[in-house]
Order: sequence, then structure tokens, then C-alpha cells
Amino acid sequence: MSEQQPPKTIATINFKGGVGKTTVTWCLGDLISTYGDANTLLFDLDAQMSLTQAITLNEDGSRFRKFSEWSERSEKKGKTIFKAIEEYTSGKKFDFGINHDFIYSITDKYHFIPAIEDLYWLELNVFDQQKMQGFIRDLLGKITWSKNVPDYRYALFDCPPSFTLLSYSVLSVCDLILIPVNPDFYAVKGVPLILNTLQMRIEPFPIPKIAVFMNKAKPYAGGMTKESQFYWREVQRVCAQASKQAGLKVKCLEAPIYDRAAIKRAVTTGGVPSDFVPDFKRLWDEITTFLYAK
Amino acid sequence: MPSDFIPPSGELQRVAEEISLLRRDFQAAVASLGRMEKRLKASFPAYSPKKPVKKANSGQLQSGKTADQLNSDFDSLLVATKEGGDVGFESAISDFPDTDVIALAHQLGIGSLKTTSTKKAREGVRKRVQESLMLSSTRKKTVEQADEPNPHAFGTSGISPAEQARMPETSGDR
Repeated sequence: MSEQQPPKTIATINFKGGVGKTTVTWCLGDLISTYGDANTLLFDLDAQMSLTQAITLNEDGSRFRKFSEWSERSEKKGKTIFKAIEEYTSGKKFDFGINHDFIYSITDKYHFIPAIEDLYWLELNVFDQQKMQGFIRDLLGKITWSKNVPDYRYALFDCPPSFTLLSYSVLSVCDLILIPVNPDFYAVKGVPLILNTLQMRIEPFPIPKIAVFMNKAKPYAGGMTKESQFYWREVQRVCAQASKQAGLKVKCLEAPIYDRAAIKRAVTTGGVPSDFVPDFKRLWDEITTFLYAK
Repeated sequence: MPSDFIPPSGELQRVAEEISLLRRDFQAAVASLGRMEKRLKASFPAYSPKKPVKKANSGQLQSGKTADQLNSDFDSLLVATKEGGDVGFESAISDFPDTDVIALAHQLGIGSLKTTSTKKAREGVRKRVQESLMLSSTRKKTVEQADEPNPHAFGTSGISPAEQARMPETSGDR
């Protein structure tokens, strides 16, 4: 009997809103499941449900029938992530069944656990915080051993732009934290904030590898504009300091994702636009090289 | 009750009338300018309209520095400003030839090599230095905080004292 391997886990997070967490997370999952042979599981952990709503909506703004029907059925059967948290923190045995009422199939290889509005309750600390710490770890364990769903090579998490109990649960177990930044002062200023917070909040657990990349870079003549380059150098300064002085493993990925309207619409239009697949492939190659490096 | 607002068709008519009035004023102004120019030419036969002023730096040499050298110049400006504030910045940047200041501003994403004035370039570089120093000050705080024992970190109990205080007594209940 072959040993089940848990998926490699990547959490996309930044406390600054609008940096493109949701779009990038979705695009990376779409890329590796479409252009690779990896089964990929995508989690929307943000109570704002941006990713879930984007997947629900077609480009014309109408609801995608297949997903909305699945979603209603899933809620009726109590197969939502919120119900899983309730059961996990109730003190009883965690016996939450994993199947396709809980996990939605976007494609054969790309599967999705949507957010639900009830996740707002997490902000009110109604759950036992200590118990919540192990939730994602144990849920991934159940998913790994379930015969009802495929073996996932990657689990991607779209985290909320704040430190909720759920994001804490993810960050204390994930293999890689992916931080998108934008070429502007406020976005760069957010990088030391998040690095500091990550260290403070994840301790005493080992801090995962952290990768930072430039998202929404302004394009010029086949590269970034000088202004984007300036902010990228500032990001590198900040990360180098954090790596050296706080002992964090922070890698600045050299592959930028450019600011393009077609990328912003990628979730609702059904895939990474073909023109930008090479950019996302370069980014993914850098992510995995860092992820698997000893 | 009739609406207080003009209907779209009425608004369209009003805008069309305003455009027509503007066009008439514009044509009158152009005609007046033409007449003035004719009178000037008659009085001063040697007169010719002033040629546009050449854009700043268009005739100047460009800096021969590479991007790496310019980035290194920026670092030295950072150090000078950190140590000497505005005076330090002014003193350090005044050592740079104008062409290098413009090239540095361009390297930092401000203006273009051909059209940016030295004054504008200098202000742009100052802005970037200020931004970088503000980011540095956060970095310093971060590192100091990271080195200190952290009262907010989850300890063996997994809950910080502040969070314990915030927790409702019924924590764990649904």
C-alpha cells in the first residue's frame, strides 16, 4: 500500500487589500491544473467571498448555474467549511466526511472549497482559539486519506487580508507563504508589517518559507517601468533585512505579473489568458524551486 | 408632479446651444488674434512669432552612468540623508552633475531623460529618498520588535493574554 502524501500547501496573504491575492491564487491553480498534471485544491478562506463570488459569476454578471446549484445543495447537506469548523471545535470527535458535496470540481483536476458568509463569525472569536489552530492541518489530513476525492498535489489558500483564526490555522501549517506586492509606496510599506506579524503570530510554530513577488507591475518595453523597478528594489531591501536579522526565510521571486485588465478578469472568463501563461509559468517555476529546496 | 430635472432631450439641446456659443467666441478670439498679428507685422516687418523654447536638457549631454552606478548613487544619498537630514541630502546631491541627477531621477521612475528639468529631477530624487527612509524606519522597528520577547506570541497555551481577556466566557460554545 503506497503512503498517502499530504498536498504541498501555499497560502497567499497580504494585509493590504487590492494587491491581487485572489486573482493570482486562482490563476496559479488554474495554470498548474490546466498546463500540468497536478490535482489542485483551492480554498477560499475570506469571508468577503471574493473568489467564491468570482467563480459563481460569469463575465456577463449572471450566476453560473452549475456552481450555484452545487452550492445550495452543499449548504443544505451541511457540507461547508463553517460546518466543518463547528464540528472540529465542538469537542466531539471530528468526523466530518469528505466528498464532492464539500469539494466542488471546477475541472477534472481543479477543485474548490468555497467560502461562506458565516465565516464572519470567526472574527467574533466564538470558537475555541486553541482548537482552531489545528483545524486546517486535520482537515487536510482527512482530505488526504479520503477515497472520495483525488490525491491533491497542491492546496492553495486565498487568505483574508487580516489575521483571522482561520488564516492563523493555515499559516501555522503551510509550506509556503506567498505575498504579492504592488509597485506603490503603501504596498511596499505593508511588507515589513506582514513579515513582523507573521513571525509574532506563528511562533512558537516554525515559520514557513516566505516568497514575495511583484504583482500588477507596470509594463514597459518587455519589462517593468523604472518606477516599478524602484519599488521592487525597496521590497528586496526590506526582505533582505528580515531574512538577515529576524531569521526568516524570505525569497524575492524575480518573475513579475504585469498589470493587465485581462488578468483581472481571468476568474470570471474561465482561465489564465493565453498571452500571460508564460508569465505565470515563470512565477510558478520559481515558487516550486523555492518550495522544494532543502 | 413634474420633475425638477431637465429631461435628457432638453439637456442635449442646452449643451448644443452652449457649444455653439463657445464656438462663436472661439472663432471671434481667433479672428481677433489674427488681426493683432497682422497689425504687428505691419508695424514691425522683421517680427516673427517667438519660436517655442527648447525643452529642458534637450541639448545637454546625457549621463554615462550605468543603472547599477545610479542605484549605488541612490544608496549614498540615502546614507547622507539619514545622517544629515535635508542638509545632508542637499550637500550630497549638489556634488552630482545635473546630467547624473536627471539620470538618477529617471532610474527611479521619475520623468524622462530628455524633458525633465534638473529642479524637477532633484525633487523627484528627494521624494524617493524620503520614501525609502520611511520604509527603513519601519524595517528598524520590525527588527527591534522581532528581537524582543514577544508578549503577543502564542505561547504554550496558544492564547495571548490580550486575547484571553477578549475571549467570552462561553468560548468554545457555539
